Amino acid sequence: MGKIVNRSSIRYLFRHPWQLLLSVLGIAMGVAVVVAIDLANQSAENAFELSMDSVSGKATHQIIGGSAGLPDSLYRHLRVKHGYRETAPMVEEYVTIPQSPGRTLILLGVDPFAERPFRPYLGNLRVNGEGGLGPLVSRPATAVMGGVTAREIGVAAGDSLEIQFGPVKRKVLVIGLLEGEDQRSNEALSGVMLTDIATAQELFGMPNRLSRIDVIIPEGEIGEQKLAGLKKLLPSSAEIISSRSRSAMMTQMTSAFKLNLTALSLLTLIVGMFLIYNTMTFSVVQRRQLIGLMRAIGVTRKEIFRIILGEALLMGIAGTALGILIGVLLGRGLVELISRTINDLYFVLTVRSFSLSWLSLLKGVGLGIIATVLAALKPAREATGTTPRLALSRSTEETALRDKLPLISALSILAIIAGGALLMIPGKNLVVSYSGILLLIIGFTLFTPAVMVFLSKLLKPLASGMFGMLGRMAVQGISSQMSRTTVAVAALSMAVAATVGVGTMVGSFRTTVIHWLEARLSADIYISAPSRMQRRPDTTMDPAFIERIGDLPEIASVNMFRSLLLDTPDGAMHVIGSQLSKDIFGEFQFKEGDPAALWAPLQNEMIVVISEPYAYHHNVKVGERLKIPTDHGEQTFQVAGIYYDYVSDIGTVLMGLKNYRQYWDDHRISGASVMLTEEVDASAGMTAIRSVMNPGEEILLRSNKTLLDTTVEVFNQTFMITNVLRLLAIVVAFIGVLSSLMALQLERRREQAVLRANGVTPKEIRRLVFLETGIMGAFAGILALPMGTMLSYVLIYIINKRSFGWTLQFVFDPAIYWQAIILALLAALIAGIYPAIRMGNASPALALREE
Amino acid sequence: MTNELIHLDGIAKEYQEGEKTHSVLSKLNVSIGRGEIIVLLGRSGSGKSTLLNLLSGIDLPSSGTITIDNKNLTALDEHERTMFRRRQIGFVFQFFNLIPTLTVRENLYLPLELNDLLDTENKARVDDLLTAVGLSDRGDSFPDRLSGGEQQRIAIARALIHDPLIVLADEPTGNLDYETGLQIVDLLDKLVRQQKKTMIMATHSREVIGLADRIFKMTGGQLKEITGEAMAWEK
Repeated sequence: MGKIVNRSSIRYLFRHPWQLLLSVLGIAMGVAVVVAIDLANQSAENAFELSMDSVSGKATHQIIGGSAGLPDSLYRHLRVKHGYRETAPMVEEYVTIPQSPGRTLILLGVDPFAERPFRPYLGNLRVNGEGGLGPLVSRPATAVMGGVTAREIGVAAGDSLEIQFGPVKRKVLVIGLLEGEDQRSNEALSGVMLTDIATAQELFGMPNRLSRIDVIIPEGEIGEQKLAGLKKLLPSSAEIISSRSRSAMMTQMTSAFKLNLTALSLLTLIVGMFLIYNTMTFSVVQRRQLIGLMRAIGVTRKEIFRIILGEALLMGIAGTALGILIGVLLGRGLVELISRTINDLYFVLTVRSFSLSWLSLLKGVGLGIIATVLAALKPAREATGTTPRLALSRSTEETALRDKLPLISALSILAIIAGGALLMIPGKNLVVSYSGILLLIIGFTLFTPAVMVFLSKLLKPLASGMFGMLGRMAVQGISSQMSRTTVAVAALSMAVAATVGVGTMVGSFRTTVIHWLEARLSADIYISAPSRMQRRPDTTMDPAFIERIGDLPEIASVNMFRSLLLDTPDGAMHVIGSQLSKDIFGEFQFKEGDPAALWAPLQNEMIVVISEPYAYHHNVKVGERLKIPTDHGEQTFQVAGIYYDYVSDIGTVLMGLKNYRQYWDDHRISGASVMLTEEVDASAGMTAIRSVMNPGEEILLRSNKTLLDTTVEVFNQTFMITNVLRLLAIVVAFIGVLSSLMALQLERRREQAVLRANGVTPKEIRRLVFLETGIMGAFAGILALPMGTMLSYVLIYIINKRSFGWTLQFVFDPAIYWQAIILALLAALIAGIYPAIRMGNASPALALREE
Repeated sequence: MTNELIHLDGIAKEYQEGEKTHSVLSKLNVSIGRGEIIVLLGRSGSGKSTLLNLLSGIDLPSSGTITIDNKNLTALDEHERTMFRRRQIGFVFQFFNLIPTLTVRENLYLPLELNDLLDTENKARVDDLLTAVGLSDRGDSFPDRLSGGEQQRIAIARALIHDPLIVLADEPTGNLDYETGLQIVDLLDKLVRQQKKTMIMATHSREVIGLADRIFKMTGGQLKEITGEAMAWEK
């Protein structure tokens, strides 16, 4: 295509700076949200990998035991007696630093002399000016920690630092700092603290026990022989797993969560695509005369197609570049929210850094440009259809759209049926489900023109009665320019529908969880050690302490449980051994099985009850047998019931505490609850419990009301990112409506100039513009309600089920629906302010002359 | 006819309006020679513009054939007709229709560029032509800075710059005052004759008739040539 034609096209864009700016901004926002989510997801994954790197180092395999770990004699046995030199013992737990709330470190108790092949970063250690880890062994209660973290919290080598593990607080002497060779290794080390094995064993109450033994097995046949030999030497309670499988299990735990975030971010991009489509359609429509002229001069269809697509591509490139910049900034904020949610729900992330992934940026570039070009294809094709006549009347085009209404409506029904069919396909594939949602959304948006025609007919007499001629003109203005107004209304209704859908889903989720918690939290006081994770206790308490509580006269009964996360070949398994009173257990809501009938056998027989997500994810049914790796080898339990549980989407396997203690050499307690005697209130009960605490220990005591509030707060935090994304989709839709309205009003400059020339006042012009935009907003709001309801049904019953395995009650909240209509109206009215002012102030003479 | 450039053989054009068929042109048979200036008279809606659209390949007849320079235009596909128009037709419109996003000079460069003729020699021709239409000092202005008459003069220059076979003018004075209209007619006459082009001009303005070699009148879808005394009377 020649330079002159391209120059004309670029000048056209710059002669409509507002339209250009809004389109670029729309693309930018869409790209920004996708990039931000991807960067935040990637950063969280990177942080996880860094944590794993620093912890696993070069170990190819890990020997792990059950709940109580491994005896340290096993290490000596393997290394000394059987010559497995490339092994390293490890005691590992998360600790917090009271002087820096919110900071979690992984404390590794290591044998400095076995470490070098495993964790090369130890070579760069500075210990009071001398290299090496020797002083860790020679001086008890000493530690080394990441230099970056130490400087952040103001700790230097030689300082004493208080650390906390569960309820236990200890002081360690920081004798050295770990300095990485580059930024990446420094980030990895920022979450690490190293001590000698003995110090860690003492701190974590694990005398003569190890968390695991790291092993390096070479690749190839020799390695396989070595591995086979090693397996034979392990006791039944121990197993050897590859380091990679452990990290894969952790990644898999968060995959559904991340996919849902990505899907929600793509929604913003789709709304952004509407915006691009809208802009390009406008730019073609506005230039119909010009394109017709070019065609008359001899510009071919292909050349016109290339011009329009080229313009879109330019906007796409500008929008994408800006979007990536905004995305990086937004990603920095979102990584904090995502890391917090992962910490609350899945596992502890010790590294919280933002990493710039080129792949994420490339994805953003690809998506931004592809989305722009895709959205511009139809307008570009339409442009090629412009006949080289010189005055194609607008009415011809509008008539064409009206003629196509039956076809568009038929397509809409087809898309809805196809979307529904995709969603009905059984299975757990979320990509298929989201494709179904996309088709449903397309189906609903294709209904927009038909609904607008219908609503306009209904509204016309009403608007005429209320606002006279202006009201009639406003309705007619919308329905007579359907080719322009439809896209704006569709984009806005889609964003508002997302608000209704996601809002109803979150509301239903919250209500379900609150109802469930209210039924479940029937004890008076809940006792736990401070945990780093909100949804699953990962710290324990001394069983003797719980026994002392049981002996208190204020306490009527004590319930307790031990929670353990197991690595199994099928992924993570969250096992709970519980000792609950019949009343408390009776409050469990069962999907299958009767709690009253199950209570006694659960204490004595080889049965378990499983949570709904576990049953869903692992496809386990009542009556089936479940193999569980225990400290005494693999044991088989029969599944006797499925209960509702909204704590963990990994799912839980619940058994009697007696059974648990029989198969796991672990008597510690993760949490307890007590019923008070009738005359004792919660505050007196707590005072009594505090009187039997070990000195210096920190234990959390919460009434059921406080626990309910805390849980709901955690829940709200989890959904904060969802709400942020929802808001961003609305912002993009708002930009879309503003852009459409501006283009629409600018295009009608002459019509309004004629009105002004005939005596209509600027005030009346402004009123007309507001009436039109208000009606468009109302239409979008009305359209959004069925679409939003459909979305919420799909999110609750399909997406949520397939992602997390939870059954939720659908809770209809009229406030969400009212808010949706008000939101659509407000967005449209606000978007109308600038065009209204501009149109009202425009000189009719100038507008008439310009034509 | 010797030296025939355009031949219309049984041209008819009908439009469908719902179930009704509306005939605009019926069975036109005309031959036009090279270098002739033809004026098409007729009321609004008589089919003058439709005929120009057919001659430029913008539209196709319902029946009949159009042969231009021994090429059957009706046998060409859409792309071939566009390429034919690009090379062989120069258009002058009633509403000037300059490209608003290009300067005056760039508007003249456009047909040259489309025909891959934008070289130094032709760029100099653009300046010469601007001088010829009396607007050598407005080359860098955008069209909206020019008066109607000035815009139409640029449009005439644009129609001729790429050396087309035929100039089609659709009501070129329709949007201008009487005086300016006369100036435009003079300019068209001068430049078209200078460059020995064939021109077909649709108009209902009597003032342009004077430049015609032949006059046709369009009524009821039929084309009737006005000759002899009637032509003199029309003139």
